[in-house]
Amino acid sequence: MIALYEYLLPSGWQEKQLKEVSILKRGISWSKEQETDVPGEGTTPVIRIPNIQEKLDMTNQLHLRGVSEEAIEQSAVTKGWTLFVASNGNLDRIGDSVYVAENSEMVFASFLQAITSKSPDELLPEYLSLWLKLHSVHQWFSRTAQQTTGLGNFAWSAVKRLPIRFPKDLNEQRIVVKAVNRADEALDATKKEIEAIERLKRSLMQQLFTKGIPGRHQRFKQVKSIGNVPECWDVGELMKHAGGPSSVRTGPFGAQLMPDAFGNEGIRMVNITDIAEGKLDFDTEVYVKPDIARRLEDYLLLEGDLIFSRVASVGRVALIEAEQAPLMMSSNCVRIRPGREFNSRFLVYLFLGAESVRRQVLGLATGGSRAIATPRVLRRLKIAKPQKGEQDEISDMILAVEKAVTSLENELTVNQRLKQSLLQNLLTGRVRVGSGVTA
Amino acid sequence: MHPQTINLQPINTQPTRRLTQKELDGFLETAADILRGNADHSEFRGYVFALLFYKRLSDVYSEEVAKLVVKLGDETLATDPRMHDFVVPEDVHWDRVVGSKDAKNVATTARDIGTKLNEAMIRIERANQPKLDGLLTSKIDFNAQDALPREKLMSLLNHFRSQTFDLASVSEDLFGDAYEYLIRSFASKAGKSSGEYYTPPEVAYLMAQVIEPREGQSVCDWACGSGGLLLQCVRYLSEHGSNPKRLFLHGQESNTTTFNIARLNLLLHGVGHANLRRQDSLRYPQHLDEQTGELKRFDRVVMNPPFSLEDWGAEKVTPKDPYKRISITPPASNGDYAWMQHIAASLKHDGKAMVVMSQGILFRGQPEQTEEEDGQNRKADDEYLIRRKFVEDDLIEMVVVLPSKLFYGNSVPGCLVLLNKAKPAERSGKVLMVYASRHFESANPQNLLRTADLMRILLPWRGYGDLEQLPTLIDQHEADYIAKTEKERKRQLTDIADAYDPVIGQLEHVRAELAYLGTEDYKGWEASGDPEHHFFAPLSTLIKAVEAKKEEVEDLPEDEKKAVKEELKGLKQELQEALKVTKKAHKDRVKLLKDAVKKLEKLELKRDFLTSEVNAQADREVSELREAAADLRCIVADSEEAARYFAVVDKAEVEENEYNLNMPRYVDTFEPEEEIRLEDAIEAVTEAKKEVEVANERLQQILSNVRLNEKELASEVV
Repeated sequence: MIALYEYLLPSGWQEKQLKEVSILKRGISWSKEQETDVPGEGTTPVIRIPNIQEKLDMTNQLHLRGVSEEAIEQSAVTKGWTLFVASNGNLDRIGDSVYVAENSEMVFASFLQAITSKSPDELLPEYLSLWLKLHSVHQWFSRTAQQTTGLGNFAWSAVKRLPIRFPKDLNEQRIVVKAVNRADEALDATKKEIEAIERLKRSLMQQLFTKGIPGRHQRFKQVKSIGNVPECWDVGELMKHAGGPSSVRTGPFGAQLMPDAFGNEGIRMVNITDIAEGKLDFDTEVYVKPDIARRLEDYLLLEGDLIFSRVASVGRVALIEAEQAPLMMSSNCVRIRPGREFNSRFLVYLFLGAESVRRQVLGLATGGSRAIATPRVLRRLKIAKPQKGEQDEISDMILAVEKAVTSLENELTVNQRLKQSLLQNLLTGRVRVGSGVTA
Repeated sequence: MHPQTINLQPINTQPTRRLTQKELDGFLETAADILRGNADHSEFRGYVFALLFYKRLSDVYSEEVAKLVVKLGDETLATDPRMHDFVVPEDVHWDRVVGSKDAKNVATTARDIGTKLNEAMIRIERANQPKLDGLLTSKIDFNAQDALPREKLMSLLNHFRSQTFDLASVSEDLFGDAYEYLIRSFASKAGKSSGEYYTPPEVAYLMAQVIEPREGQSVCDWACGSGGLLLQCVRYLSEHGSNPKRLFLHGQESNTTTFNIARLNLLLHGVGHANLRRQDSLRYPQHLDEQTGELKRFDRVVMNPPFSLEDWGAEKVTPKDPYKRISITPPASNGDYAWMQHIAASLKHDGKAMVVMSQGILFRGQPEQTEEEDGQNRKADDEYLIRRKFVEDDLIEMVVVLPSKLFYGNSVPGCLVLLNKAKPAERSGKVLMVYASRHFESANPQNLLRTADLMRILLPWRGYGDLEQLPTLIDQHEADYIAKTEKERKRQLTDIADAYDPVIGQLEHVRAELAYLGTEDYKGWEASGDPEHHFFAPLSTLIKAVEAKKEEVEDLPEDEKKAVKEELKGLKQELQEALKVTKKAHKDRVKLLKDAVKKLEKLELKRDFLTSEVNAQADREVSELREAAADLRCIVADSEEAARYFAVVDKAEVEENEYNLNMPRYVDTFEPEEEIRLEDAIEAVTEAKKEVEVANERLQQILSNVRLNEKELASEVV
């Protein structure tokens, strides 16, 4: 038998080959003419590879016309079966699986296969489904796939002898399933909370950038290209607010940064790929030699500067935090150095969250798919600016929401690790539920 | 049924009169499919179109001759070339070279067919000088087997042979439309490699509607492709009750095959008066003013030049060339603004042009940049300068941004630009910007503009974006387009009815005859004794004679019986034989009737299917039109909503935008952001928090209690 486990088989458990305890069924193939995006009379929804994610993802659903009764019966998506990717160009996808918890009117596609327990009295289908998610099992499925053309096909002959071990006692199997499922539920709940808070952030920004701090303003004005804002807010071009044309500038051009300007130490360079949603998330590690950097002082990024991508995905912006400064910007970036009247973080949020600014940036950018926002365009952005105090309050509110998201994301990571650990320990018998005995 | 009405003529089970548009389209599609799979699809087009034309010419010519013979009673007179628009010499007639519909095989052997066809083409061209000069022979050699493999040629000939293309089978309009359909079909399959940039008829229709050509005017398409845009101008006149022969058409096309297809296309649509030239329009314009040598000037120009042409002739097309059309030379790698200047130069002082262009012309090219403002010094780009000049000269009356994927083999989003050298005073200094990318039918490989989508563009154009005037135009537009759809529905239904009804009309009669003859076989007739029975009644005399003879025999004394018995025997034999023949005739007829009923019922189903398809299509179109009209009413009633679709922009605003005409600067092209109520968002967070707490609690419970409460837990699972 193939060695899959580092530990001895616990007492009260048994180990069998996959082929002894499972049965397979295949999906259906169809012709292009049968496809339709919209369900109608006589159409059958079909699950395809894109639908197989961590859970069944039904956002992109295809429907088929004229599927025969036999095909529906043969490839029905039935409760207790686990659908898994059997053929794909990306071998890592092979073996990705999803458990079907409810019967449905759907069929599944031929690049998928379904597997379930031969005898549920001996092995729970849910248990088998979790076992398939074990990293080592998944590796067996994907790594032994045979690739002849661009497509890799899962090889049953390679995995059918894999040893699956499970408690003889069905109750113990149930508890294992339940423990992993509860970890999953906790993950889902946390994800939902993150989504809710992200939505709260968007809602908050909509409110804050058009009405100001709730309840503070009674009188509003209508401004062209911006919409409604509190009457006391100062409307003008970014250039005017920020303090003259030089406050908005592009990075050094090619000739100023020849290949010999870079070294292993010096001032770190920011490329557009390093600019994430509001903050830097370094994707590259390039340094400009100290002596060159001194010459290019005008292009340094200091605390409170905003860095902007002016090509590719126009409108990405990040704030330079105190601990990151100084940095050097690359030529595809534009730096905005807000004047004293500005809270930099407020300005970043304005770029990220104010619909009127987003529209202006995209509308003024030249070109369709390869949009370019020049400093000329950015200087002319029309912006409504509250008093400094209100700016501080607004950015603090949004920051607080962001921090809540960050802490939840940490929680999510912790929960994910917990689930992984449960799979590793409970499905291999390393930790026993109930008795606490380790093998 | 009374037997007297029985008609023993053969029953026709084929739709005889006419092919419907759909059937003809399908027939030609099959021709294109025969050639599928070969590398250079575009080279084949020439052969298919030439053969189709040859077949059509032959069939129509035979039909005309036959009619004239009847009319004049003189065959020599009937074949006199002066009696015909086109002549087909008898020995190179399709039926002689390729073979008629009824012949078993192609008349010429595969070995000789190439030479025979080449000869036929030359002879037909010569017989019809100068109308067909070069049309059937340039770039066409039926012996060039590497271009057109012999077995494909033979399949193609056999395919065309199976159908008659005379006027009785296929009217002029129908044939012309089918020809255009085939052009489209080739364009869709070949994409860019077809060597032309086919304009979908919907877009061509839209363009003609905007420039409104009039009788007596001259129209030019400097990149005429297969001539679709010119034809739409012709149609525009016909639809408006004007004489299309009084529209002076000019075209130029560089690709020889495409050029010939255009000539055929126009000829087949009954347009014999177009002035088409073959050459590269930018390098060697062919429509010139005889006196000045400059470009000839036209009342209207319609064009869909190739987008962003790289090798457009920058070396030759310069401000110094004799045609005086280029004031600023565009980038050597992009010909868009060479075309634009060429077009503007070929318009009369009050001329209009409607042009399909890549959207790049709206925004490519930067103004001058300075060290102080932009960190570098840079001269203004040429495309910026040319666009600026167009705006400053007040030439642009409208810009329409179209949905992507409308043009074959080209996914670059296109736009329409209307140039007008004499804008009405109230539009001076203004540009109507129409954002039409939202509404279209998504299809593969190309998206389509539906009639309702066309209305959404034409309405703001006709009211020039005036929110006071526009509401008054909607009802009329809606009614007009619905009427147009209904007219088309009627035309197609008539088309189907003409083709099928006379044949299917026999069904009732045939069924009745079958019912009668089915029961009235010989036994049935013996019982009924119907004196009018078509088959058996004529036997009555003989039967009676036999009966009479029998009686006679009985009444005779024995010694005389013998002789009469012999006579009786003879009569009986005669009756037996007659009966045998008649029963067989009866049986054959019943079989024929049964077959006919089966076939006619099948045809009836087919007709009903075709009818329901036409109705479904028309119904869908009507409901789309109503929906679009209702939507337009809401749009024009609300200025904010209208600003999402169109805007009238004045020069100052364009100048403020540095002469950049990118649509989102003027029209709100964004999809509105979802508005999230703060109260709702807060409540959702609170709910989610509670759920997290519960989930975490449940998880902790199982993690900590699992060993203690194993049994209890297990009981509640699954």
